Amino acid sequence: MTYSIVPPYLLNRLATADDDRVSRASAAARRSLLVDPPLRHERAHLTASRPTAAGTRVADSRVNRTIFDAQGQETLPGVTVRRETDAATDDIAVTEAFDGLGATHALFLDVFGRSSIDDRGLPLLATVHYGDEYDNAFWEGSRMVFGDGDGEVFNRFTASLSVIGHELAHGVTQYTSALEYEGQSGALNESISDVFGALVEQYDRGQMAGEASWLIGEGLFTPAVSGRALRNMLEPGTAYDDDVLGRDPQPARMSDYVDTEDDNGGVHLNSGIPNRAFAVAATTLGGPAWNGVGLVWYDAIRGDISPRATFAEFADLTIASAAARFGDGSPEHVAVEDAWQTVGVTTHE
Amino acid sequence: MSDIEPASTLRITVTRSGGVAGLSPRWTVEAQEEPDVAEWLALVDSCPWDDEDADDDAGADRFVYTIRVLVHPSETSSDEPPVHEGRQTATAEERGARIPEKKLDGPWRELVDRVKDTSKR
Repeated sequence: MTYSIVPPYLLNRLATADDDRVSRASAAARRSLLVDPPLRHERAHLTASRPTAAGTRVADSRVNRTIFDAQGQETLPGVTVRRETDAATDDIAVTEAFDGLGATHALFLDVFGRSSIDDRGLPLLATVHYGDEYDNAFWEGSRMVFGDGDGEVFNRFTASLSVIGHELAHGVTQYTSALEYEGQSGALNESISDVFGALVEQYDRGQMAGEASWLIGEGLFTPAVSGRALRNMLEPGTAYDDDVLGRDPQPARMSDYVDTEDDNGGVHLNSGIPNRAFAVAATTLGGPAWNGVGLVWYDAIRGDISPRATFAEFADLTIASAAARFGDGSPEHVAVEDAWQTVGVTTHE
Repeated sequence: MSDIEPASTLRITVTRSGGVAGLSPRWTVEAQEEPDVAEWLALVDSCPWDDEDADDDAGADRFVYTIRVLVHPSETSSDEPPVHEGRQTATAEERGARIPEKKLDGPWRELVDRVKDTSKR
């Protein structure tokens, strides 16, 4: 037989290991997930459209997680391995998924007053050990699914809290803006998942905007790969530069927007542009990103947003949200406006 | 693709896009000798090329597979006039399909898995 062979991941050199991954400090003590929700920021019309019987709020706000094990198959949901009240198992993927769902639930409840991804206490479901050497994690419409990685390029996908937050944020988008997963609205959908994925990690670690890595998927690459993470929100296009994987192809400004038919119109590429707008605004302001620009973005996805929103339309929404929440001419308002200018997205405000 | 000359070259390329990582790995196999070409073509022909549903929603962070099959006369047997840039010879055949991961079953799955396995060997 004569074959011309183009192996996808011929790992021909060992690169420097990412020591941060190894020495990552254990997360700060988990905040209680059973506390009453804090002050709510619901808009009147949203609250009105979702009547919730008084008294069920407290019950709704409790996190309710179930982890399943697909045992290497591509069949969902798999067998139940841990429920909310069960003790931890010795399976690290199960533990990471369980803790990651908890950290994501905590951010949305504590900071945004949102009761789970649907704001009605939806139980959180996740399946681990999906497929054989499966190099992905995805939101399936009602549950999160994690592969173990191939071991050569990717570690298990539960290893990154920002990726767990990213996937659950797809669920939040499904219940709020419903941004179409194609072209600019698709890239916004992806970016919003990166934004809240990063915020989940920063909130869990108690990190201020200035000290955060702004990396998505740190620790997913094996030491054989020359790269720190899947994406860098603050400096798109710099997350990895590897002999085999190539260079991180994310654009950092609108003039470099990538037109392609692959990846639903480059949704994982062009998300770099709105990602950078968020990270630039957050680091300009400093302090906890979840309390500043995080609230602005959360308001924007719950406001009058079109499922086919463009970058420019979304920029206008965030600028209006910043002015509404923090005041016209407030540091937040100015920082958000400037950040969109930095990434070359023309706004109309 | 039933009238392929024996002295033809077959190339199958599988590209996977999407996924939370946003990477686009590619796997390629080439076959020049019978019965390899015939064996690959039988597998290619078993796929439901006309059933492709391009509008199918792949889902957030799901993989999408792009499959391209190119069959052309081998260079030694080529006495065709020079090919204009961007065009194929009259006898070259090409097929393409874009298959969301959720629909990658049956012969599609077998084709993609065999291309991946063979290119890794």
